[in-house]
Amino acid sequence: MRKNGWVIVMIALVIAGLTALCVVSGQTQEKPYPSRQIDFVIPYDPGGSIDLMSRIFVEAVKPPLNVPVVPVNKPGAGGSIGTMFVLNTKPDGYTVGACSLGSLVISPIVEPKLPYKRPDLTVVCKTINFPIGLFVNADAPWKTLKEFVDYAKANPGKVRASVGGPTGAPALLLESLKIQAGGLNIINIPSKGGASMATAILGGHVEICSDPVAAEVSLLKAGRVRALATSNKVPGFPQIPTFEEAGVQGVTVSSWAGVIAPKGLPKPILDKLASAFETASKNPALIEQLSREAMNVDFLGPEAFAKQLDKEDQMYTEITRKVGLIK
Amino acid sequence: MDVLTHLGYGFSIILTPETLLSCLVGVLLGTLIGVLPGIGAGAAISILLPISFKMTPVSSLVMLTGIFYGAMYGGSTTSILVNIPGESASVITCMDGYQMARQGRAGPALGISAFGSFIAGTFSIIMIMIVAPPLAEAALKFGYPEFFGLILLGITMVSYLARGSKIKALMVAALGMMVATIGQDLVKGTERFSYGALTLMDGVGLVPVIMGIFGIPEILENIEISLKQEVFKTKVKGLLPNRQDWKESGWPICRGTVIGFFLGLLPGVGAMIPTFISYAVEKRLSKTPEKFGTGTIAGVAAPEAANNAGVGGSLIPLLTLGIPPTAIMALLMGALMMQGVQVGPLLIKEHPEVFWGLIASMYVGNGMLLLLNLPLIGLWIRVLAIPYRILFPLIILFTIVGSYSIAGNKYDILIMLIMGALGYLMRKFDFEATPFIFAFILGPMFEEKFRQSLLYSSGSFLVFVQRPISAVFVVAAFLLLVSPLVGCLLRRREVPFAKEKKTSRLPRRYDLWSATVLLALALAYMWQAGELGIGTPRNPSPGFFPFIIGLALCLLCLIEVYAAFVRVQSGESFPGLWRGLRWHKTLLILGSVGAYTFLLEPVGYLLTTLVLMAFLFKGIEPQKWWVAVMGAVLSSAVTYILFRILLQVQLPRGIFSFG
Repeated sequence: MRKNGWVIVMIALVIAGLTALCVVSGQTQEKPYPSRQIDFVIPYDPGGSIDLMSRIFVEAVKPPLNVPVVPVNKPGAGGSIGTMFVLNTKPDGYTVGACSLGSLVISPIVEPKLPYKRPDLTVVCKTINFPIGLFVNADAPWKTLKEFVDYAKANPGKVRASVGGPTGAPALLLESLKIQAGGLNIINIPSKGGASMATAILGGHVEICSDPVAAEVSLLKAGRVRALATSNKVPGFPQIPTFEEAGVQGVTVSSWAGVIAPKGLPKPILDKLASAFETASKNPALIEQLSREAMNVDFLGPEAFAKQLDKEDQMYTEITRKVGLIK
Repeated sequence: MDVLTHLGYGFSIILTPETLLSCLVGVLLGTLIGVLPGIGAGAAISILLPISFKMTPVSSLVMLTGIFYGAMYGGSTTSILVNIPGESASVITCMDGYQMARQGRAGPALGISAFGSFIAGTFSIIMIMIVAPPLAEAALKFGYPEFFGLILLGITMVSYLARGSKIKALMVAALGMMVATIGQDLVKGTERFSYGALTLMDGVGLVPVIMGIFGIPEILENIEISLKQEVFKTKVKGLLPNRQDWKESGWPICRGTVIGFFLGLLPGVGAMIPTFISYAVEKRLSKTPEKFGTGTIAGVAAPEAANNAGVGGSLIPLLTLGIPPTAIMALLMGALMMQGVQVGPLLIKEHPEVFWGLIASMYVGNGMLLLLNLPLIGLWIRVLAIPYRILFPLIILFTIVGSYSIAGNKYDILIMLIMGALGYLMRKFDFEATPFIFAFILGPMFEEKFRQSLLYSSGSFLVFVQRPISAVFVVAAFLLLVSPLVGCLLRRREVPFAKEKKTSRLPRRYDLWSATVLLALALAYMWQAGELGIGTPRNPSPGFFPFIIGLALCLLCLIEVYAAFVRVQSGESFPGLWRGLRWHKTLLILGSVGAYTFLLEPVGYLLTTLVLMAFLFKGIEPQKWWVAVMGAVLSSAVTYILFRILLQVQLPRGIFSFG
C-alpha cells in the first residue's frame, strides 16, 4: 500500500513537471529580438582557449542582450561539427557560435571534403586574437630572431621545431617565417597535445617551438624560455617584439576567434548581436581576464571582419600550397 | 621539519568553512560525473568555471581538483557494477572488478578501490612535497624515442591481458589500432579512412568505443543466455574487504602506487598506461596468473592504486614547471591563470597559499572521498539487487545519453552501437575486449612518437637504441616478444604458443571463420593504406603506419589459421557461447537503439526516450505493463533532469520544442 502511494505521487510529479515545461515553452511568441535564451555553440572541447574566451564573452554579453546566454560545447573534427551544427539551425539569432582561424579559414582550404564553405554562414564579429610566438630554451645561444634566422640559414636541416598540429596556426606561423626569411630549412616535428611543446623545449629535444603565448607565459616569467618574436603584442610583455619589429616582414599569421551565425540572419538581428559583443569587448573586467590568458581583445564588426577573412583566405591558400598541405 | 611547517600552513588555509564546503561540492559533483558516462571531469570543471571566478583562488582550485578526484573514483564504480568504465583510467578495473560483482563481491571490490586510491593518493602527496622539483626536471629528459620505447613495451604487454589465446589477443589489438588510425594524419594532415564523415575526422571518440565494446555486449549476452539464473549473485558476501583480501592486495597496492607515480610524472602519459602496466606486472608476478580476469582482488587493487598515484605524479610537472600533463590539468591551469595565479616554476614562491593549500586539500579531499564512498557502497550493492530485466534498459539508456552528452552528436550513439555489435561478435568468437581498447587508446600515441622520433633523427632508426632509456625499453619489449618462442624451442615443442592447445573453447571452424574475415579486412585496409601512399621508412607517408598494422594483422591471421588446425579441441566446446541463443533479442535491442538514434533529433529527447524505454522494458522481457510505463516515465524524466537541468547538456528539443 505504502509503495503504491509513493508510485502515484511520483507519477503525479512527473506529469506536473512535463505540463509546466509545455506551458513555459508555449510562451515563445514573436517578440522583439532577443526575447528568450540564446545558445552559444563552442565547437571545441571544454577548457581550450576558444572555450575560455567564449565563456568569458558569454558572461559579458548577457547584460547588453538582457536574456540568458548558454554556452554549449559541440567539439569534434577541428571545430567542423559545431560549425555545421550552427549553420543548420534557424537564422533567428537564438543559435550562434564561436569560430576560429581553423574552423573558418584553414579547414575549408586544406580539407576538400568539408561540407561547408564560408559563404554558408553569417560572420558576426571578430572578438580576440591570440599571440603566437617562437620560443627557445633560456640557455639557447640566440638572443634575437635575427641571430636565430642567421643560424638556421647557415645550418640547413639542423634546426628542429616543435609546432603542434600540421595545419594549426603555430605550424603555419613557422612556415610563413621560413618563406619570408628566404627559404629556411627547419624540420617541423608535429604533435597532438599542447604539453609536448613546452616539454620539448625544456628537455632540449628541439631547438625552437612555435606555440600560443598562453601556454608559455609562466615559463617566460620564470626565465626558463625566451620569446624571439610573437605574431601580436602580448599583454604584459612590451619588450617582446613582433615579427615586424624583429626585422622579418610579411609574417602575418595570427590566430583569432570570433562569432558566427547561420546564413540569412536578418540585418537587424546581426546588428544587435554585433553591438552586444562590441559592448562586451569594452568591458574592463573582460579585458583584464582575457589578458591574463594572453589574449588580446580585438573587436571587428561584420564588414571589417569579412574583409580580413577574404585577405586571409588568399594568404593561407598560398602558404599551405607552398608547404604541400594542398595541391 | 620544514615540510611539516608548510603543510601546517596549508591546513590553516584549507580548514575554513568556505574551502571545506567547496571541497565537498567538488568531490560530490565529481563522483556524480564519474558515475555518469560520457560527460567528463573536463566538462564539469568548465561548467563551474564562471562560478569559480567569484571564489578565492584557493577555494576554486580545491573545488575543481575535487571534481577531478571524484570523477576518477566514480569511474571505477561503474566499471565494477555494470562493466562500463567511466573513463579510460578505469577500463582495466572492469576485468576483475565486474567479475567480483557477479560473484556477490562488489563490496570488497569497491572498498579496495577506495582504500587503494586513498593509500596511493597519500603516497603521491608525500612525494610531491619532498621531491617535486628534481623529479620534474628528470622527467623532461624523456624525449620522443624514450616515449616510443615505453609504448612499444606497453604494447608487447597486451598479450598478458588475455585469458585465452595470445594470438587472438594480438589480433584484436591490431584491429583496435586500425580503428585508431581513422582521422587526420599527424604530419601531413591528410584525412585517413574517414571518407568525408565529419564525426570520424578527429578520429573515433574514446567514450563511445569504450561503452560500446564493454557495456553493450555484456547486456546482450546476459539477455540472451537466459534470465533464469540471475546475472549477479544476490547473496552479498561482505561489504568491505576482509583480512584475506587485504593480504592479497597489500603488495599490489604498493607496487601499483610506485608504478603509477613514476609513470604519471611523464607529461602526456595519461592515466591509462599506468593502470594497465601495473595490472600486467601483477599478473606476471602472481603465483596464480590464471585467476586474473576471473575476479581476483589484486587485479582491482593494483590498477586503482596506480591510477590515483598517477594523478599525483602528473601534478608535479604542472606545479613545478607549468606543463599541464592532460587536458583537464590544462583546464585547472587556465582557471588559476584567470585568477591571476601563474602556475609554473614561480608558483611556490609567489603563491605559497595556493601550492600548500592545494597539497593540504588533497589530503582533505582524499579523506572526504573515502568517507563519502564507504557508506555509498551499501547503496551501490542494492542497485545490483534490482532484477536484470529492469536494470538492463536503464544501463542501455545510460550508455546512450553518455555517448550523446559528450558532444551532442547523434553519430556518437551510432558509433557506440556499431562498436557494441563488434564487441558482441568478438565475444561470440572468443576474442577479448581489453587488448582492443588498449591498442585503440595507445595507437595514436604510438604512431605519433614513432614518426616524431624519425623526424628528430632525420630518418635514422638507430635513434631507438642509441639513447640508453629507449634502448632499455626496446630491448625489454623485444625479449618479451621472443621469450615464448625461445621457450618453446628450448623445450622442443612443435608449435610456438603451444599452450594454445588447451585453450581452444570453440570448434575449429569458428576460429577459421573469424581469421578469414579479419584477413579479408586486413587486406582491404592495406589496399586503402596503399592508396594513401606508403613512402619509405626514412620518409613515411600517411599510409605507412596503417600498412604495417594491416600487415601485422595479416600475419597473425595466418598464424591463427595454422594454429586452429594444430590446436586440439577442448572436451567442453560450446561453453555457453553459442548454445541456446535468443538472437532475436539482440537484434531487437540493436535495431531499436539504431532507430532511436535517427528519431532523436527530429522528435526530441523526452518523447523518443519514453518510447524506447517502454519498448525495452516491455518488448524484450515479459513485464507487468505498469512497471514498464513507470520505468519508462521515470527513467526519461530522471535522465532529463540530471543531464539537461543539472549538467546543462543540450538534449534535442524536437517537434514539440520543449526539452
